[in-house]
Amino acid sequence: MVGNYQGVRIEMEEKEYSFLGKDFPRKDGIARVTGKETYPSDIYLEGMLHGRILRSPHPHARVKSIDFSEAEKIGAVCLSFNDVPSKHFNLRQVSIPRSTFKDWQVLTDHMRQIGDPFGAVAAETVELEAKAAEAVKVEWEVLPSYMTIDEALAATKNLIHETVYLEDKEITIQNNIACTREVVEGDVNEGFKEADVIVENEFVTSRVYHAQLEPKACACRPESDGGVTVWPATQALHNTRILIGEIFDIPLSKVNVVRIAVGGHFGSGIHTNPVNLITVALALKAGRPVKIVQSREEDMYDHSKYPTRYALKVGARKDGTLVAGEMKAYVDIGSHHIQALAFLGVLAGWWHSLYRLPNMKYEGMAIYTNKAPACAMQGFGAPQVTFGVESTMNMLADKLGMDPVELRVKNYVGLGEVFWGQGPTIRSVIHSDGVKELLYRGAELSDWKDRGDPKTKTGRYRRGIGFARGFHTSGTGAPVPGEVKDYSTPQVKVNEDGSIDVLTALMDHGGGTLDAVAKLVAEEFGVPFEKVGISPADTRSTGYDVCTHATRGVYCGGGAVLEVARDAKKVLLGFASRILDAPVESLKIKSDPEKGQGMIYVEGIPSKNVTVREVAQTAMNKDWGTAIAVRSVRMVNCPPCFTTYFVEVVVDMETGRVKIEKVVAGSDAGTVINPILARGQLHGGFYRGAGMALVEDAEYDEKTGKLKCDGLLTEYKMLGAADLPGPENIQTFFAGTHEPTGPMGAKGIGESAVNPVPGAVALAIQNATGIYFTKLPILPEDIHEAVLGD
Amino acid sequence: MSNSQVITHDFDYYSPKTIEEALKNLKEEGARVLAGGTDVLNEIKMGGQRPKGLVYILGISDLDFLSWGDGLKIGSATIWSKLEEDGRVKQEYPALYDAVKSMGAVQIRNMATVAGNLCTASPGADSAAPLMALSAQVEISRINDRGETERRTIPLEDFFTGPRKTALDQGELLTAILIPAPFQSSGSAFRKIARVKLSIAKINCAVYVEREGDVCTHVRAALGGVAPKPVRAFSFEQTMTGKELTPGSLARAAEMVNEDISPRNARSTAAYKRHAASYLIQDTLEVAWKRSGGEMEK
Amino acid sequence: MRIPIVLKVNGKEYCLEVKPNEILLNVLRDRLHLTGTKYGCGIGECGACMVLLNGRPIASCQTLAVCQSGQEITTIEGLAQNGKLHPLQEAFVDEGAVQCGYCTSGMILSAKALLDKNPDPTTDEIQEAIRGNLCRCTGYANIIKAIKTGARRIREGTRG
Repeated sequence: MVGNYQGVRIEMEEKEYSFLGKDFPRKDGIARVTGKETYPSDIYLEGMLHGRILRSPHPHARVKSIDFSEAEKIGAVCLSFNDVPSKHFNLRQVSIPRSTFKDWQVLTDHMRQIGDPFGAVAAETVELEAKAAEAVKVEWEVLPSYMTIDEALAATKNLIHETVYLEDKEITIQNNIACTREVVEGDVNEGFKEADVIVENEFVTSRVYHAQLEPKACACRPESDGGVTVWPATQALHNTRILIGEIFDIPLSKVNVVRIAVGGHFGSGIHTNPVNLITVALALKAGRPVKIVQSREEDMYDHSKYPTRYALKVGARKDGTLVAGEMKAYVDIGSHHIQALAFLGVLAGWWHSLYRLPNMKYEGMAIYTNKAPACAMQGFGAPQVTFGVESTMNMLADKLGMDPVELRVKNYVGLGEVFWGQGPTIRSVIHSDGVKELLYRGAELSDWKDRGDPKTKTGRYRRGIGFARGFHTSGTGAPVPGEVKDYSTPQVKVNEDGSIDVLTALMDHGGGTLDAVAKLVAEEFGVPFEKVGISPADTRSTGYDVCTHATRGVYCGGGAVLEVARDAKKVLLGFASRILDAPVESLKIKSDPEKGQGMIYVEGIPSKNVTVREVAQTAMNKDWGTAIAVRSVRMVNCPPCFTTYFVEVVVDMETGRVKIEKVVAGSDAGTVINPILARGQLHGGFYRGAGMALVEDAEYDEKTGKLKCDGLLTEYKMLGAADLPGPENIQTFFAGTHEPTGPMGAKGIGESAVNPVPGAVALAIQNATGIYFTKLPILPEDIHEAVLGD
Repeated sequence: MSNSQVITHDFDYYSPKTIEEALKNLKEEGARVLAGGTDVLNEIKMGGQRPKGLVYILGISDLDFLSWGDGLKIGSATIWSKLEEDGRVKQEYPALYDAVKSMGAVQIRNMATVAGNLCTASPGADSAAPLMALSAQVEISRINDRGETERRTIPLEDFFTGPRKTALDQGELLTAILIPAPFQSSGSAFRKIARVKLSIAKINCAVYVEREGDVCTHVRAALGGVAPKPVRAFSFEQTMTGKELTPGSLARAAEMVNEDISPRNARSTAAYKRHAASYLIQDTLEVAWKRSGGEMEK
Repeated sequence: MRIPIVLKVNGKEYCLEVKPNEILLNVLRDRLHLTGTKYGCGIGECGACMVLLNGRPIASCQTLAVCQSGQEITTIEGLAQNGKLHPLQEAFVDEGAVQCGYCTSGMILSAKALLDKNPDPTTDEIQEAIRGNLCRCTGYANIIKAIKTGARRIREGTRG
């Protein structure tokens, strides 16, 4: 398999890896298939109470009074906003303080959405806590609610937020505008003058819900020293700890947040979920452990993807070179600011880094509404933007009479170029680029050449093939630190029997991140994968890791572990050099599969060797010490991992129903560490992206402020197994690239697996029907209406 | 906000072993039937229903049967899966078999009863359209003032009295569904349109057709999800009956469907529903026709 | 009102007293501490709470514990026999069908019920059978492969 487009050296072909690129049973696999894996909702602690959050039935209201007497009669412990610290904070602690807007409190009397917490109760059994919650009586002052961007912008009083804080500065909110952002490069007006064709559209994407299978849950035990131990559903162990310590005024040395498996995040756990803080507050008040497991209904009011509405205008010369682009975006962020400012920045970043735009103007505005707060969901704005950009590229190709693939090849930001996917403050250079391979090979493997012109298609059932390309950054590193923190602090140590312990606060949401990390260490030490252990982690035993998001798990998290593994390896080799009586520089390590050990030998003299185990044992017995290292490591790049999806659909022109027939998914992830799980990322990304394109929308009833689906999963439409092609009709391939700055050539994959998918599906529908849909989801009714309109 | 995790409402619980016992239990004030639980429990958890007592009927073996005689009699404690597993259902009442296969998840098919689905009486109930097209009747039992068990049998059309309303009185139990034997050259089919396969039907349609040569000698069609209760498509039936089946005659009959339906804006726009209903009925009849051994020119 | 019941779970009998309104899922998890069965939606649609009732998959969130007294219930914890994994469990690990793992218990039980009836299912038949099992992570492709691999290993009496 060759992938030397642009002359990038293909180290994969030359290098024989012992563990990378091979599949092993995942380390947590057996626990998960036998029901033994513990998730936050599975925690049982002695003396534990079950908690329930008290939530607003109104989209916008103030609590006038609360009567807990009936609940207390049942024996419940009761908590209101009067019982907790009133500090303001942002649940997400990824950005640096001066970029962090704070408008959250643990509990408040100002309800800003249906489901907003104002209190909590805890009781001995799940039935009692539910009964206690029903028994709480509240008097409400109902306020006017703002369920759409336009309603919210028109408001001058009874705002959703009046005063918020940016770092420690007070900010007065006008017209429910949470924040705005502008990015300008070059001069768009001059740029458009050079354009021979211009395409202008408004694109809309919906309020998608993460629908992670486990509703958020948390358990907390108050400790006798005034501290707490917490088992939350989270992507951010240390940020959760810092927030708990800060809010409840407990020294971090007494706050222990434990890493625990979680039933999916997709970005909904980057910020510390409110349930975590409320559980801590209840446990502290009760003086007993408390567990809160949210119902699915509560969870649907807890978070959602950022819905977007943006005008996009792009101009190109007749040779296909893009010259100018203008985007004006409105983002409905719901009841609170989680990372709206960062989101506005990355919208510009994804756009700017998909295709070269010498002149660009971007304006973004984030607006509060009385709905669930929007937060990152796989792609963090990239699926939304890529949909519009890729649609625009095809429209330009139509007007120019150019091949859509060639138009991409001509304009994409690739090898050697500066890009800033994560926003204008995080800039780095691209060092590996498999985009051409992904496009050409994807076109070959699908029937792209035979897709046909929609204008010539007839009949009730019409076939269409579309494609889109996209990327995601592998983390948020950059040569110059920017708005977001990014580093990890792993520890690696060699055990006395030659096995290895890896301690890191990195999370694995199920994609296999920790297995990948273990493989990197196994490769480095020549020690079998089974003998590299990922230690249980908590915030007491680990150094700071910003959190597992932004597709940084392998590149940043694994990259850091590899650096530290090399530190520990230096110590080990130092011991080995004493044993072998050879200089450290002459020593090499390889894997000895027969012995099941790592083998250290002198280069050129293979008979002079010693196993890792022998070295460790000798070092122990001779009191030389342990080969161990711990260090904070920051990656100074965030290389784009690219993907391309070619999708074939059949559209029933009578009913508007779309059947997905075939998918060809190509990924440039550098060195592929876990092949079967990497393919799993592509399958999963496709499924969620196609859902966003075709069905998913957590709509609100504008009059009542309720979710139209009422919190019922039946009513929040998602694709099912039978709506997707079977595995025989899904092809995946990986470009043969090697990322020189990445751990053994690896980049990330996670979010890149979803980013181009909505665009690809929309463009497949366009090829079948001749209609460009600019609003997602594309429902059968929408296709039916558009077809009739024609 | 509803709470799908736990039931806080306290109720009395009865688990009768005979029909008579069940009928006695149901005479208690506020007693409701509990069959598979997939509707009733959700109504209690989340719909605010607070029945005083639940009478669990799946423990009554006398109600769990599929009895073939002159037609089929289905006991009201029979779960959907058993209809799927009995090969004769697929052969003689394919519309009913289609309905089973199309319903939600396998776990629901293994718990929910056909009778329970009828009693919940949702306008789009999957059981209604096929059973109506197949001329089904329901047997209702009660204990009268003299303490004797009484039975009455009514056509399914009369069983539905409004959205989520049936002809059952307090103390009455639907004990069986009766389906007459199908004619020699007949076929039936059920189809539905939903956003994705795993969901409650938006609109559904069932057709039973008897054939002589190329002529539809008899047609019964029912639609669900297009009116406050499941309805027969009488205008379509009248237009189609006695006609030779061709794409033209079928299309003309399908146009008449508009007269038979009155969709509210329940789950999708009314216009889309009308359009969808008209070709859904065509698609369904075509399948039923093929199953009756007929062919239709394209 | 408290009712004495006997729940037969994974071949073991549990005698307990329950209130009529106690949901089977909650009794399995909170009282019997069999936490392999999960809560995902509360309305019987996602499959996370799936258990086998006399061999048939049911949604344990949709039935009361009292209703199931005396019935044979199998949860994921009951699949492995004497420490030996069921071929489906092995296949799920081998084929990358496990990501976050939250759907896995229900998904494997669903697959087992399918293979008990249909030992050599096609892709369509598998997609049909797992319609009631929501997986948000994998996109189902590796799950379908795992079920086929498990089926093959059962038929051949092998392990990969």
